[in-house]
Amino acid sequence: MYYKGDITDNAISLIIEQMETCLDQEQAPTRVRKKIIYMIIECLQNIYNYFKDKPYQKVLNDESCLDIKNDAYSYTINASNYITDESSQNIIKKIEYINSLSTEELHEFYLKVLSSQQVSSSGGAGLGLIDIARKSGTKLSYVLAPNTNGDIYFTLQISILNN
Amino acid sequence: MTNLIVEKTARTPHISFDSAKSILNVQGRSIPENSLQFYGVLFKWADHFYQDTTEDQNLEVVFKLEYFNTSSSKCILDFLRKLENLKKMGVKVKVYWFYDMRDEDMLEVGQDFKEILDLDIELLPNAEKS
Repeated sequence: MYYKGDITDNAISLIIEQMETCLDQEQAPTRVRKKIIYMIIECLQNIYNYFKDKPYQKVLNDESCLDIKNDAYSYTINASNYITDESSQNIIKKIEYINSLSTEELHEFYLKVLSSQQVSSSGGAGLGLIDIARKSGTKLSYVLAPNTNGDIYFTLQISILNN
Repeated sequence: MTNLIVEKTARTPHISFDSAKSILNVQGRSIPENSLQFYGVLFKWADHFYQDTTEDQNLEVVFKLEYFNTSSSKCILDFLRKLENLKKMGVKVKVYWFYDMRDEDMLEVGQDFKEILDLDIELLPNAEKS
């Protein structure tokens, strides 16, 4: 499944609906299906929240993209959007830290953030990447592609193993 | 306490409180953009329950969620913390956390809540009781 365009409330609903239909047709196991839908929701809402208060960046939001592929062993989700260089540095730091943790350490970190952090006015709880890493059971990957204006086209890559 | 009904939407769960049975049900998907706004209803409900309650009152809270986003999980934890306060007041609070047997993540979230909170939380596979 492939979507490119601005991530609006309606787009999120439509993408979720279409992905559920795809997964039904592919007869994906419930465990995998739940994880994929969950990851998509988190990725899309992260992008939505990022652009929510930046209507002047509609041109950049139009380049947002969700690409989901699968083979016999796994599903791969690529969620891309433009962010500032500063935001990309913050996200990379967070991903590198999450990737450095063992499964048990990641669980402890998740519980710590869940217990302490407040939901921000932008809608985030600071848990998205941590929970994606936990639920996927794999290390998070990312790709950075700067444009000429200094914005970074950031792609989060998530793998979900079929078994 | 009066009855409470919040109809479900494509993004938010059905919520109902039966005051005669003292059972609160939360069922469906919880993936709102603004979880704080949505769960404000439950926070207010818990505050009213706190004001109106008497010792030895029973309260059953049933969660049957299909999906939820991380901001919802934070709000649900905050709501459960309000239930912890009710327990401290003497209310007999019991939480039933239902999960699909094929959904290990939903089970894990219930286990996490059990670990964090001082509440009687029972984890039940959906097939067992609906």
